Amino acid sequence: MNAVAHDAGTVLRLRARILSRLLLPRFTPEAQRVAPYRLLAMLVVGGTLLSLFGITLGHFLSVAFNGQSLRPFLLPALVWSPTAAAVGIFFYAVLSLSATFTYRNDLSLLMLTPISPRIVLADKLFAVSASFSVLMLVVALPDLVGAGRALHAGMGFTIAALVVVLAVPLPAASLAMLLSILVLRWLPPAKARAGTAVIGTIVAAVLSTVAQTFGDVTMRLLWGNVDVVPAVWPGHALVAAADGQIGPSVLYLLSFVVLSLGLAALAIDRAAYLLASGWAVYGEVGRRSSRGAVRMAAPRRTEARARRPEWWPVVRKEWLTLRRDPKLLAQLAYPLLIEGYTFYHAFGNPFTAHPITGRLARFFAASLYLSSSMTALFLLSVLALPIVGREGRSLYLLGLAPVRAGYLLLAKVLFCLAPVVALLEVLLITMAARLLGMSVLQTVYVSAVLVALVTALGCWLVCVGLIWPRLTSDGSRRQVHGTALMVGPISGGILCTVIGFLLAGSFADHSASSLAPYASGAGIFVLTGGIVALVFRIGPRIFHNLLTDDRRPV
Amino acid sequence: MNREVTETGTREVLAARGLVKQYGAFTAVDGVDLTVHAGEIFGLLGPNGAGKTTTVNMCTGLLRPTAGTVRIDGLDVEREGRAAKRLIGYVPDEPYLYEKLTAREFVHFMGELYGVRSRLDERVEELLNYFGLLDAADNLIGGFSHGMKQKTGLCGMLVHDPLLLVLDEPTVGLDPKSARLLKNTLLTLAARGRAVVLCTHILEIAEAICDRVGILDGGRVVAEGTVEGLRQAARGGSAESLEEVFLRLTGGDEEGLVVEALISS
Repeated sequence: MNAVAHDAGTVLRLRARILSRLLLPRFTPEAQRVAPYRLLAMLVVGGTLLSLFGITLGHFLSVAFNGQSLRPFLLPALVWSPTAAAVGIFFYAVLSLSATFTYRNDLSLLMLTPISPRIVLADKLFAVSASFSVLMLVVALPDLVGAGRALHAGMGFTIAALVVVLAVPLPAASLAMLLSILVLRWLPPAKARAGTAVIGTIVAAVLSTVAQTFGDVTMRLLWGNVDVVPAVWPGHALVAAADGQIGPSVLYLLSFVVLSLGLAALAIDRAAYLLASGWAVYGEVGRRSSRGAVRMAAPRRTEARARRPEWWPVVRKEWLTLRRDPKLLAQLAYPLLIEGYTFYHAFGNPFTAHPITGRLARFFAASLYLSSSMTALFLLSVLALPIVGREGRSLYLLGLAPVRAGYLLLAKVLFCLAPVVALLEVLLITMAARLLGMSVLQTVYVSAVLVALVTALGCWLVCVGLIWPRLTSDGSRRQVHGTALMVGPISGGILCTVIGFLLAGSFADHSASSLAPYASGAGIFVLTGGIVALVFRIGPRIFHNLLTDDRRPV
Repeated sequence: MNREVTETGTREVLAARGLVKQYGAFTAVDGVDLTVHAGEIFGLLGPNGAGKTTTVNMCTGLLRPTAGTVRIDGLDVEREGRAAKRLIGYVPDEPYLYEKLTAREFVHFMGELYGVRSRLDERVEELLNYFGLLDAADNLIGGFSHGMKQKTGLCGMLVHDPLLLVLDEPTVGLDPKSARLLKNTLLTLAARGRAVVLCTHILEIAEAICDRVGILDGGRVVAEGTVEGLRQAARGGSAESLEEVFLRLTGGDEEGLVVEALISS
């Protein structure tokens, strides 16, 4: 017992030291002194903001559904939301744990020490689970608090919600650990991770489609009849707490926590045994792919090559890399699948439906703009934001090359823009022209606005990723710093909103003499053109500095 | 390996003057001067942390010096970067390549990036064949061993026939046959008028193939000359090998005391 306590203490001290590093931007005595106050301030500010969000959401739901009972809408959602979260966490945990078992080399180092392998793996499992719990605290808890307020639930509901967000990731991560161990025996790490990402995307798309098609009916049919399935126990605990039935709520939660801890113990025990025995290690050397060589691009003619611009090889390299990255392709395919199905489900086949008119047309136009701009933002966040960071430690190859930084930037931007512009133009403008009955001139105008928006967004996100790249990524983790993940999408969202207002302004009804619609239209192109000009003004210098300064890992 | 370079021995291919690199208060490289001529293999030796990689990164344009200049065949790396970079090939100690490209695609990519217009396809095949990579040419680099990546990196850096080839620990991870092939390649390149800078810890290699060596310690060049000249200079010629010279100049001859202290503690 003493040995276990000693091992656990050692690992916990190591974990605490690693976590403390996250709070210390610099390892100076001053930074260390300020760190606890910094943490306290972050907790107070973050907690206040999230509480305010929860209270506002509750108020909004109460006002929006004034006079109607929220229960038929909210209770099935409460039952199923922890299950849906657990499914998502499961797939991400497989990715994270596969990396823990393979790419990140501290596991093998720790397994060599006299510390018990079970303690080491427990640390890894709880670290992954805790990271999802933190995410749930930030994302899910305010929503649950809001739902509780709307249902006039008491303090018991808030406590139950807190337990749920902390406990739900653990069984999902435990199952992911068991699956990762099994998969890594048969598949090399990169394929295991790519396969998981693709399956995760397919499952998410199927669940999303089913939820849209049969959502309400299924949830209402099932929510009272599946309480033998442990996955819905947290949801039932929330519903019971919302009804003020504290006893059943505690029973559901207790059962779920006990089951989760049992599953975690099983996963840790089996993983420790299988890793230590060498069973869960893919024999890469002895198992060369039987598929053999990769299909190579067709040989090119020298004369054609001589005409190609300087940036062309980089674009071609990006394309070859993208088409062999199933994880990235899956991330890109998901919003398009969901987008396409949502519109088809909501409005029917655009080629056979009658044009929409009146107030519905305005609603459709607004939702079309909203969804197409958000899809562009999502696609570009996946494609453009990490496109410089994705170079990783190979960035020195571009640094050595006799190519101007401006051309490297242009290559990255063009590669990101071309597929997004093409997809959105074809998919969404076609729908707009057909369903809204736009004239040719209007269609051309809206197409041009979309191209301008996507171009500005793409340039901006590439630039943000250029300013905050994460070049030490081993490919298994995010390739930009957290700041870029915040700044990129938020500023992109603001740009989409501003352009949306200007677009609406340019279609607004005004008197014939008013210049406002023209001013709005011109504003769109001035704003987007300004962003593109700014990026190509400052971007090459930033890229050049990145290629030649101390931030690039050597 | 196609162009023959004349003026071997007199033409300054690499001329670094007063190179300094500071990271805050820490000076990694402190006033290094280096000259490497056409047809010469220059060995850059030094203990861990001596500043070898920082120096070659500055020489190849990958790192901006705090002070000093680097000229490649007369071209300033800072001001005439594009023209100077066309003349350089650099293979670092860790060959980080694009793992989702095949070896053939990677060498093609490097050729196109360096603006090789004529006979690129043939040149790629020649290099892959020369380094024994033809059978694996259509496999993804991600599945390669360290040695295969090293050889692929070399192919990528030789495809544009550089005037200056810089290699950082090139034999790490190579099997004896590949290491011999690499040594012969470097000797051939030098014989054809190329300049080679070789950073290595393996003093036998430096002794065997380098025309001149420079020893870096604490960011400064503490000795430079031919292997024979350094032997003569070190304690009046009593040193027998480059290893002894190296250890005396870098303070490593106190290692016996350290080992003794470790054993007795």
